Amino acid sequence: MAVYVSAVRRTNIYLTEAEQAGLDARAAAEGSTRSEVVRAIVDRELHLDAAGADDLDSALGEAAAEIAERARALSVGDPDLHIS
Amino acid sequence: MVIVDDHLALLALAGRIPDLGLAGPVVTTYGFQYRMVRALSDSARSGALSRRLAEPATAVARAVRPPADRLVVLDPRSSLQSAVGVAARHPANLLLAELVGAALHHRAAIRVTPENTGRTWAQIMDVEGVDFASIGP
Repeated sequence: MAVYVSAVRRTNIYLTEAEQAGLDARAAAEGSTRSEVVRAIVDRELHLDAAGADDLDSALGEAAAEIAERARALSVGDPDLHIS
Repeated sequence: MVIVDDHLALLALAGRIPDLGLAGPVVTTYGFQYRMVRALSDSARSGALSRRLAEPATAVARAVRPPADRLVVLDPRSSLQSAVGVAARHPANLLLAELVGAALHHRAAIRVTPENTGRTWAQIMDVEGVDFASIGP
């Protein structure tokens, strides 16, 4: 039985025969399923593999204003990126 | 679609973006991403991130490759012609031309923080018919 870290939702997409064959070949080689291969590809392509990064969320949220100020300071004198 | 500045993009990366009052994905431009990554890299060496994170490079990596459910970086090539048109009609540097050009090309709204609002921006957005507003973080 598959165990999912996140809830999954059924969705239908259209794939070519070559795409389906490729997915099935990868799944067979990895002892996986077509769905698992698709989810792994989507996660990798959309950079959704940042699970368990609560400390990173907190640090970015708390430091956002200071980092934005630093971005402005670093752009002073840069004609392409300066805001005036 | 809502295009945001580097400050709001940072909050989006943290999953803490304020209510923008608009539906659709949160996106930013390559120019703002560059400013954000540059500042993050600087802060990771000595600054807020180096104090808060054991591995500050992870924050830089997230900004370079943002999770798409939080933030998408628009490809500047898709709106290049619009950006050039903006620069021809207004005194706009690369950052502003890309921002307005992307909004026109993607029919997107723009939300930036007050500190990142140029003096002429509201007027240019008005002339170009872009939905533009400053919003506090």
